[in-house]
Amino acid sequence: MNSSTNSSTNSSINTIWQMRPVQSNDIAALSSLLAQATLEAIDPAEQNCDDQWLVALPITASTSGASEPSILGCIRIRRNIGLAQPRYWYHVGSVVHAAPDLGLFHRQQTLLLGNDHTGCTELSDICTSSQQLAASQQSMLTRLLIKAALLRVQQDSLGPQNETRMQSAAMAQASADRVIVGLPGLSDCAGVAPFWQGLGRHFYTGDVRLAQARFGEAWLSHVAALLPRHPLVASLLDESAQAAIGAMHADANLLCEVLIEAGMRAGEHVSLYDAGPVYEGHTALLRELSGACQRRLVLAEQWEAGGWYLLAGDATNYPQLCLLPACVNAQGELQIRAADAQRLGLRTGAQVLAEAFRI
Amino acid sequence: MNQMTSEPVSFLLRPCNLDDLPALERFAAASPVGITTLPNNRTALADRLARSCHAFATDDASGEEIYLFALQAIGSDKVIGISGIAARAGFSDRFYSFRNEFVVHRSSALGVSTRVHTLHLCHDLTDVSLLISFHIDAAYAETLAPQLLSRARLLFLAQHPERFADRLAAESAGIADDNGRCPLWDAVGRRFFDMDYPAVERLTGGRSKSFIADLMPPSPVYVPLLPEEAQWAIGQLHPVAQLPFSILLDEGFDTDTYVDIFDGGPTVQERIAMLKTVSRARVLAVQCDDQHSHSHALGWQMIASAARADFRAVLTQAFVTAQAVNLGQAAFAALGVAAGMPVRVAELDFADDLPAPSGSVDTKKMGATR
Repeated sequence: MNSSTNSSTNSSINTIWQMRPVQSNDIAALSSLLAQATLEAIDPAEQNCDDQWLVALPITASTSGASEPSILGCIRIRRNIGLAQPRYWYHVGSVVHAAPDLGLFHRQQTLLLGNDHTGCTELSDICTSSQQLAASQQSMLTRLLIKAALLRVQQDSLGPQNETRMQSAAMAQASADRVIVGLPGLSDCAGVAPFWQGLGRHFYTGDVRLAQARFGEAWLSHVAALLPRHPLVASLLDESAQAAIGAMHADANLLCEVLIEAGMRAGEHVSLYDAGPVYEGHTALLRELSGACQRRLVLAEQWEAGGWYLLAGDATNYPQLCLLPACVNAQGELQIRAADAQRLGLRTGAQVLAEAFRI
Repeated sequence: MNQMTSEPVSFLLRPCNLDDLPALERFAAASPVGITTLPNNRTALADRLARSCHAFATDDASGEEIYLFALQAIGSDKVIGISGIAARAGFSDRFYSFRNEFVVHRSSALGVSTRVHTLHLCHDLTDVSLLISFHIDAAYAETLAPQLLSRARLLFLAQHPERFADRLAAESAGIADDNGRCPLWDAVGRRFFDMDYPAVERLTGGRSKSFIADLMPPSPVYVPLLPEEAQWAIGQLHPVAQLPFSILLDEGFDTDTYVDIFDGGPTVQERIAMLKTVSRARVLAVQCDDQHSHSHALGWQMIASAARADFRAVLTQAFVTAQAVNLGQAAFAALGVAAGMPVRVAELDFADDLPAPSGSVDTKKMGATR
């Protein structure tokens, strides 16, 4: 099996990928993927444990040592969300009104404003290049970005302090062990959301676009101060607003499938603006589902047929994640080709968190 | 006022008796659905009359009494109005209202403050006393008769405080069309029952409406989320409620705090001692004096006897001194008390402000409920 020598535009199959933290010279390449406002929020110098951007680039044989390969996708990992600036969601619950002797039974949806996901890890700004990738490649890369980000999150939870943390009975940081992804909800082609028209607009009559331009995503935290604090019965909203609760924009179908495959599920929360669903998963469960485990890395000159593996080194020494051909040998070690190891800067004997990846 | 200059008519309010059933039926039948607390049903009305008779007669008041009064012109037997008092609102159950509240939402980052109107389902008025069943013959609506019909109840309350709460409330019919459809019900209640209000009334079959309220959401209703028609209906009066409401407004009831949970009509409430008729009433000795009592310079007085089962209240022009009230012969006889006995007297200053016969109640005052 040879690694592909095709150009990056059609080479997702059999291509080694690397996901690495964003660098300052990536910003130009990211400008074709992200909106200007989002781009301005990226500060490569400020990459830290709580806010990290990963960019994905293909590593082909021809790229080694040559010009920088193009960035074809990105994902943002945010930990401990809502601690610096409160974040808000609606919790979608239900209330039942029943009068059995009158044959009345009504189940109603309720919406309650809250900060329920505070402290969670959020994956956001998941983008792949539609210009340089075919649809099937975008699909594969989206899956790769999500899996890589989840692997990074899992690896953090396996850090040196983790054992004591897992043993703490209270699990005080339970929310830190939950990962969420907010999916876009229903909106028309002008970006106007029926849910906002039916609810938020009655409490903030200002221009949403101006507020977004001025405050970025924080505009929602500011608007939350103007929204109802008591539970709302959804049936008091107009019909199109009710229909939008938890409904997902068609653009997010692919991402949604990937999240479900990874073991995430739509939870009970929706966004304040368009009521798009928030998918969530517990880190421990996602780790179980991923089958990822710690393995020792060994290099082989002689290649045996195997599958593809996504692997993550310990974040301080090797902040990249890689997708490459590998196999698990009889000793339970992860065996990779020496040439790939050299290209990716991997050393034999390194401990990595590895997960089989279906191409 | 000029309409009664030639021969001022005096009025008498007395407890209803079983013979008043036809009059009750007449008033019940004339009321639109949802407007009255009188059931349009002979058996139920007869039962209600019996309850009222028992309430006036019993020495052992429990709080579930209702007291019904009948109004006549002195010198006539015809019942021209009905009114009542329920000793305790929601007796043995809960009495639901929406309480108007305003919350100010503020975002300093956005530089926005908004005052948001909310309706809170509450039981605040459970166990207060309640004015009920106000019905006046249309021919007398623009005379002084409705004044006595409504306000003399306050003299009865003042006379028998041990039978009532120290706070009094009254519901007023809100906006509804002739079929009983109301915008507030359609916007709120209907979401939980999926039937129009008259259908709910039929379904509940005279049961306490509190059971309907039990099925409403306990969280506040944010008024800006309601359709405009429903928002506008909150605190608005049905046309038939304007006259009795104007009297309550003049008495000094608080009109801004509560509205009915079904049609949004204002539910007024106040401490009984604070009401105009109660606070200005004096206990005086009654005298018969046909000499003075026909002078047009005399003010209109409401005079109530101290009796309970034989309670009488008259509205007439009377000559009042520091110790006594002097009535004409007819009014004195109607009151049914001996000369020199103590009676409760309150002047009706509203008589001077009463609109011309063609006029309706002051719409500016009506608007005060919003």
